[in-house]
Amino acid sequence: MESSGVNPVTAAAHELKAPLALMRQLAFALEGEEDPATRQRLIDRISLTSERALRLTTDITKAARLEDALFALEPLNPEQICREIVAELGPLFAAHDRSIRYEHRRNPLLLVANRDLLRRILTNFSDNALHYTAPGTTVRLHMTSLKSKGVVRIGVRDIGPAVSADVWRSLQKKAVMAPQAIHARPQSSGLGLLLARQFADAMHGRIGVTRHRDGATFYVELHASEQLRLW
Amino acid sequence: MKPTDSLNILLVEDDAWLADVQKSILEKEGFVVRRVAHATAAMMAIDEAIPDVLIVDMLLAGTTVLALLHELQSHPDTARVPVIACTNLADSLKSERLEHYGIRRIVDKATMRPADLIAAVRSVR
Repeated sequence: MESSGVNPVTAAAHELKAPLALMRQLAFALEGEEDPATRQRLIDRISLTSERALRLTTDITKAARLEDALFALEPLNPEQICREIVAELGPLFAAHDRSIRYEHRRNPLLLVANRDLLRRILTNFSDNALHYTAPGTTVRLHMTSLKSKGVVRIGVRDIGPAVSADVWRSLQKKAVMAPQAIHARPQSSGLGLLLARQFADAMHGRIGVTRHRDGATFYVELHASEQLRLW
Repeated sequence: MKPTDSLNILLVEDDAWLADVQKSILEKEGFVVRRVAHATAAMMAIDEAIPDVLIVDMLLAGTTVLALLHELQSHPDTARVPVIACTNLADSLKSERLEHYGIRRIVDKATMRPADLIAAVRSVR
């Protein structure tokens, strides 16, 4: 996954503009609303949207500190991190009529990572999935061991709108003709992925994406811990 | 020409919470609003009933909105539908280039107030 070449400051401004604009519109709606239940729902949405924007600012500041700070790597089982993300983002997903879950593995996997950076990557992927996945669907966090490469892959799978093969071919053809670069996530400047890649690099890992006809899986691959072989 | 308060509006916005706000603003004005989240669903909605006004987010997930507008411009009946672009990219869009896609107004999500959306709809009908 290559860097987009986008100015990071411009990209950060763009990424923050959407939640800030949404909070402003929600505030306008709140101003004229008298129904208590609707008011509470609007307040909840403002709160959740601000938390999402704050997560992005945390990522940006952490990325800026990557060169100066030492992020220690350690063998860890990422299952606990995945469960924490599911618990943290569950209310946000539920408020959007979506859900998020972790697919439990019977055999635990150990990898070499920094707990905080790995958490930021997976939270970032989950935030991205929330925007793209269809209402009523479940975003899944899952782990796979790629033994031949000596890595563990953690993926975040979203479910996008399914279209018939005919419509899909027709739209793809027209999309290619449109005078705009085609991205899987056009609403994004790519900043989130750029930050995730920097965090993965700092852990000697990599990120990638697998596109499906009905969505995508964003994943991070990190070295499997040698300790695994002792089990 | 229809009176503006009975206009049928198709709102294409993939942020459900923003769409809720915009739909509420428009319905309070008496407009009839259908909301879809992506370009493919918009095509299907237009197949069911051609709207009087189309309001689109310029950065939809999935198929780009320009592909949708390109398709609409290729049919005489849908090419007549005025389009309002509602976007966070307003300061980087050139309106003269977008006219080829039927876009008649650009509304900046970052600066708009509820009345701006209503004024934009009334201005294109």
